[in-house]
Amino acid sequence: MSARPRISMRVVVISFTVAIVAAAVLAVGTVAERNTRRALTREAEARLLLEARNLALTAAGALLSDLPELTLHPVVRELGESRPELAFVVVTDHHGVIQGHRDARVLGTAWQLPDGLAPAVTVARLRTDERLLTSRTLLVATVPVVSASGQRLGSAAVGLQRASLERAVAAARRQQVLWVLVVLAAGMGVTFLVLTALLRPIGVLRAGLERIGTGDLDTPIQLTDRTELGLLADTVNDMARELKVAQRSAVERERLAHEVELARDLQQRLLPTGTRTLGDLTLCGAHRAAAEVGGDYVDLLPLPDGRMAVTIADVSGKGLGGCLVMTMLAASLRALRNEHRSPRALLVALEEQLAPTLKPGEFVTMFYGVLDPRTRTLVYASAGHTPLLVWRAAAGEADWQATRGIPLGLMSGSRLAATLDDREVLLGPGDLLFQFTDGYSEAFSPGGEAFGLPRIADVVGSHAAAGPEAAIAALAKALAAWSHDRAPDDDQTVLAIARSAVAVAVADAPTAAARSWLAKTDPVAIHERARSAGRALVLPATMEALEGLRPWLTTLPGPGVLSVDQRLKIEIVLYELAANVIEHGGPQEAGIELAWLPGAASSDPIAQVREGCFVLRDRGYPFRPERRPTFNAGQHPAWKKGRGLGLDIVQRVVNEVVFRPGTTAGNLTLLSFDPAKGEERKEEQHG
Amino acid sequence: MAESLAIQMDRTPGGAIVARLRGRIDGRTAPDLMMHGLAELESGRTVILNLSEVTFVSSAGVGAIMVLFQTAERQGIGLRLAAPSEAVLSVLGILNLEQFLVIDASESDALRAIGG
Repeated sequence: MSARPRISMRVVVISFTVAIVAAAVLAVGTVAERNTRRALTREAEARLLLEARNLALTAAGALLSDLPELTLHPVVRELGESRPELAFVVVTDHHGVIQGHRDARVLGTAWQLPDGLAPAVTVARLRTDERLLTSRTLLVATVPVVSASGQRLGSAAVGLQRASLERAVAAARRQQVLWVLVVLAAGMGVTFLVLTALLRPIGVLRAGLERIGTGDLDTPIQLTDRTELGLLADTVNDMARELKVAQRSAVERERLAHEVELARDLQQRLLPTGTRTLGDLTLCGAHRAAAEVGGDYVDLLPLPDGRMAVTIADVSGKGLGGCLVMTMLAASLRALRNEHRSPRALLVALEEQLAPTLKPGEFVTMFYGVLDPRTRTLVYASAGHTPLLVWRAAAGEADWQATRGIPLGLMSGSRLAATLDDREVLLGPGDLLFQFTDGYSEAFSPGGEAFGLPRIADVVGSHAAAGPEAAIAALAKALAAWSHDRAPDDDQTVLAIARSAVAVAVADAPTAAARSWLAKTDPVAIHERARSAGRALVLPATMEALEGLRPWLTTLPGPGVLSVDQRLKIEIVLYELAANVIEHGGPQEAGIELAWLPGAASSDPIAQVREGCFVLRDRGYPFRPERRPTFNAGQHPAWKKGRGLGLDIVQRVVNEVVFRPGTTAGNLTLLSFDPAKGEERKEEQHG
Repeated sequence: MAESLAIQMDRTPGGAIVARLRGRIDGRTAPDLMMHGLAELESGRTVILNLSEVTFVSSAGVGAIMVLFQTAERQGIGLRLAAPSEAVLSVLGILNLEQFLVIDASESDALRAIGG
């Protein structure tokens, strides 16, 4: 940050100043030099004339004497010696013969002016016969020597070396340059000082800005300057103050965003994920958060007696407040769930705990139920929550369970208790319980239409056979399409509980002993053994191909010798399961494979079948039927009815089913039949 | 944007207060309704909320109505909902709250019921 400026302002200003002053001085100097030269020339001319005249006066007397050279020679010599710059000093008589000269040897000879002389242009006032001559090197004055009576006696000439004149001019110039230099130096010094004084605030400003740059917004720039820089300092100080305010609000915003993130995180951690199984029940909770943190809550809480508490709630407030209420609700519920067997009593107790913490007008809609895996019943109470959807597989229709319960926290006194009651729902094979928050039913299309309950029933119903996870996934997809993939306005939370369509091993099932080997043996090994028995049937994954089941069954040891009616039941079950795989199991390029592992060799075909095992192998998606792209929605209601019946048949005829998806051999379904069972258990209810 | 809930208060000759609500009762406007409503209930007069022109009620809106209702009840004065729109009825219905509220088919029915 302390990088120096590339060109100092001092250098710039001083350079300009020096250039301007120098130019001015040069211009002035040129003029001055011309004037000096002119003045010097004029002075030299005047002086030369004067000297020539003086010489002429002196020479007048001498030339009248007999030996003028005796008088003139010393005079001339003295003059020449006193003025070394004179080129010559000569006196001639009227014949032009030299009578006075520094050099005695030329006395008596004729005098000749040096060449190249021309009359000079001068302002000196010349008397009669006086001449001022000039050449490149000389300046010469000739003056006539005249007697007192006016008779011309000769002439006196004095020559001056022009070089001497130039020397004087040069001396003057030198002095001038010296002065210029002194003035310039002084000017530079003064400029530097002035600039330094002016630039000092800039240093202070820069230091201040650097401080601001490092985040120090609390130290204002101390600058008492009355120029524009002082104004700038004030502006910067104002800016720092405003920056600080802005920074504080940015920090505040960030803190809030962080809190929302924490709240969301808290919510996500409280909510259960994935699927749990409880006997032949599959439970699945899912939550999709809205852009704003909502107050949705869903939970599965095991109870000590093997039952499971299931709950879903929606706090009316959103944001951090709603999330806190939700957290409190979760904590209270965990504390209270073992104290109350009745869901109604639990909700009433929960309201008592929660009411003081709710703001006026804030409330919680809540569904709470206790699920018993042995009886497959759910006892529940609903406090103003959306109705419970029970998908009845056998009937292929939605059974909406609405209650009179009002939300928690809205009405004081014992009103909640008066509106709540404990209800019981019995889950039949394939039935699906679906309880959700209004984020589902109140999801809006861009046109403002709510998704609504009937559509939920449609989507859930058409995917119920595929299990709760698939139903939830299908509903999420339908909602996304409905709202054109807009982020949900409200949390979307759901709890789904499904009872398996076929009799899967349950702890208290009556056929525990018969079941043991199937459930305990490695399914892949059973599959291998069944294949090596040499009677495996591989069918292309089409409905038509399933017609091949009947002839295949007649070839099998055991089933082949059963009565037609008994074999038909086996065929129906295998058909139903295979059809299910073909319709919903995804691509089956390898076809589906059926194999029969006969029981212990016995002459009794019934025993051979009872101890034997069918293996259905497919390589499709395990439990992901909704992904099958060619699913024909148009035929769907008819199929639903058929499937319901088929599952009922499976339930009645099959001794045991073990489903092992995703083994190394593919998805394996192991089935054991009791041909006698169908007749014995015809009257058994399925739910 | 215009105010999303307009509340117009009138005093009937019989001394009851009729508040005609128009627009949405949601998280933004519910506090407003609660404040105005509570202030009117202070006067001890019967309050009739005409909800015929309410287009949407959020959970906060339900909260506000129920707070007003219970406040009125504690003070021994009546709070009646007159001619609630479908938007009002469906929300109250979902939450099973209509069983507690006094709902009149029209404003004049409500006025007749209180003898004003």
